[in-house]
Amino acid sequence: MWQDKLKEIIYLLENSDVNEIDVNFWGRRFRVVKSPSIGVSPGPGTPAVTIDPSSQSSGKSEPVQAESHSVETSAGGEKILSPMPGTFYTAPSPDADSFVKVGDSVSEGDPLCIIEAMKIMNEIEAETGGTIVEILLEDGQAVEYNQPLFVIESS
Amino acid sequence: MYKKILIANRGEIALRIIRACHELNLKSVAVYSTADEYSLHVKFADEAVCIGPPPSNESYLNIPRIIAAGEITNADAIHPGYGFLAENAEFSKICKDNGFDFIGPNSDIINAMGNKAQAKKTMVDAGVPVIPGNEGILKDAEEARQMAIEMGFPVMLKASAGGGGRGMRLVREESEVVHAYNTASAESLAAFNNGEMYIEKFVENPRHIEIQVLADSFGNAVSLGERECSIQRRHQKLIEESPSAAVDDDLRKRMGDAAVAGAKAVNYVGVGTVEFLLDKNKDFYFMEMNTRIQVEHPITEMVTGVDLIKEQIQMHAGHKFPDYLYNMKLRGHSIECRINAEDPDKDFMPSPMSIISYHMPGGKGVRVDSHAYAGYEIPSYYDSLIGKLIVHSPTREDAINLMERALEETIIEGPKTTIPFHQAIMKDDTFRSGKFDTSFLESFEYNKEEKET
Repeated sequence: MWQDKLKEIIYLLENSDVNEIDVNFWGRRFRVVKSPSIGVSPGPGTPAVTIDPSSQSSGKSEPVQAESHSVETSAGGEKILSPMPGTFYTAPSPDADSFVKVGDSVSEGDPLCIIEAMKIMNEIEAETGGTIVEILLEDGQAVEYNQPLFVIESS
Repeated sequence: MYKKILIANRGEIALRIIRACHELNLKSVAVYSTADEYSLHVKFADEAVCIGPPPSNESYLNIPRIIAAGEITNADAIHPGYGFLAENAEFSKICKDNGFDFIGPNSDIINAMGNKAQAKKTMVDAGVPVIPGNEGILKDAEEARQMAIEMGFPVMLKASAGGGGRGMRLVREESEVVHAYNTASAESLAAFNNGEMYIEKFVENPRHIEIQVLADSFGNAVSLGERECSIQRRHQKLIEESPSAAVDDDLRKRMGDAAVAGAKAVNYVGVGTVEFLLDKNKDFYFMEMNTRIQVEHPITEMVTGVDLIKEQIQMHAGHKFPDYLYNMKLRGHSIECRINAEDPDKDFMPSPMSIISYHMPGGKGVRVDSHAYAGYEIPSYYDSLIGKLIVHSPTREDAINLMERALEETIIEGPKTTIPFHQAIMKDDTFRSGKFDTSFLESFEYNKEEKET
C-alpha cells in the first residue's frame, strides 16, 4: 500500500528537476531526498539535479533509491540501532577510556558501548567487523529502542 | 501531586489516561513498540519512548524496558492501565523499588486478590457473601468428591491460581468428580505453576454484576454503583450497562456495602471492582476482585459524573475523595458497546486492517473512547478493541434507542467490526426486556440476512 506510494514518489524524483519531496498521507510522513554526495550515479559530475530526459528509459540511477528513504546515511555505512531503551555510555566506567573512537576497527563481538537501565549495565557488542565511521550520541544521552547509535563501515 | 506519569499501556486506555493527565496538568510519557509508532497515544503524550519490537513480551510486558523508559524521562509514577502488567504484583513492587509510584495497589494486595482461594477467605472474614464451597484448598480429589456430595450438584472445580477459564471444570455427577479434579489441577499446574484446587456450588445462568469501588489512602471507601456485564461471549464482555435492570435500590445498597467491606478488609487504595454473581433469587455471591481500572469504566462515569482515572491518580497522590460521593445516586442509564476489529460473520475472526474511512457519532449523550483514526493501521499483535461507544440517557429504553442511532451513524471502513452484531443485539426483544443472564449470547441467533448494511 504505502510502499507503492513511496515507489511512485521516488520515480517522480528521479524523473524530474525536483530535489526533495515532503509528503504526508495515511498518517505517515515521508521526506525523500536526492542526495548529491553519493557520487555513484554515472553521467555528468554535477550534483544529480537534472536527469537527462533521453536517459529516462534506461532504468539507471537506482542507487538514489537506497538513500531516498527518510533517513540519510553516509555512503557505505551501516547503522547500529539500539536494542533497548536506556542511557547511553561510551565507556565501561566514568574514568575509563571510551570503548571505541571514530576510525577504530572493530571485530564481531567487540563491545561498542553500554546502555544502562534499572542500574544494569548492558554491553552492546558489534555484530559484524568494520570501522567506526560515526558515533551518533553523546555520553549519558537517553536512547530509545531502534535509535541509531553508530555508523559502521563493514570490512 | 505527581509531575509526570508514564503510561505502561497502549491503545484506547493509554489515550484515556493521557487525557486525564492533561486535565490534571501533569506531564505524560507514552511507551510504544515499533508496531505502534503511528498510534494516537504516542502522538498525544508529552513525551514518547520506543521500547521494543512488536511482540508484547519485548515491549508492553517487558518490565526492564518500561522501567528504563521511566528512568530516562524522569517520570515519578507509572500507570499500568488494564491488561498487560496491571495486575502483575512483581511489576508493582519493581516500580516502587525503582522509585516510581505505582498507580495501582501494592504487590501484597494484588497477590491477596490474585489468589482466588485466599481472596474468598478474606471476603468471608469481612462478612461478604460468597458462593458456598470449601474453605481454603482441597486436600485431594477425594475431599472434592465428599464436598460435592454434601453441597449438591452441579459443582465447579476451580484452580486457585487460575484465570481466563483455565483450571475450571463443571461437574454434574459424582462419577466425574475425581477425573475432573485431576485434569483441572494438572492444567493449572502447567499454566500457572500451581495445581491447588477449591470447589464451589455452581450457580446456573447467573447475572454478572460488578460494583465500582473508590478508596483513598485514609481508610475511606465508597461504592459508585453497579455495572451489568452479563452480555459475554466466551467470558469476554461485549456490552455493559449501568445501572442493571435487575438491581433495585435495596439490592444496590447491600451489594455496595459488601463491596466496600471487602475493599476495606484488604486496605485497598484507588479504583477497584468487586465482581458478584446474582442468581435467580436475587442472592449475590462474591466472585473476584479486579485491582485495576476496567475497560467498562466509562458507563460508571456517565451515571455518576465522576472521572475515574483522575480520581484514581488523585487517590494514589494522597487526596481524599469528595464527601458527596457517599450519597451518590446513579443518574440516568448508560450503555457501552465494545467495538472490536473482528468479523461477526466468521466467528469473530480478527480483522487487523488499515482503517480507510472513519466517522464517529456525536450528539447529546454520545461518547467515543477510541485511539483509531482514518489511515490507522490496526496492528495484529495486540487485542482487537478499536474503540468503545458509550451512550447516556434518562432511561434504559432511551439509552438503547440512542445506541441504535449512534451505531447507525458509525462508519468504519477497512476492517470488519462488531458493529452489526451490536445493532442486532439492540434490536433483540430479550435484551430490550432487561431479563437476561450470562447465557444470553449462547442462545442469541445472529443472522447475516437480518443485519443492516
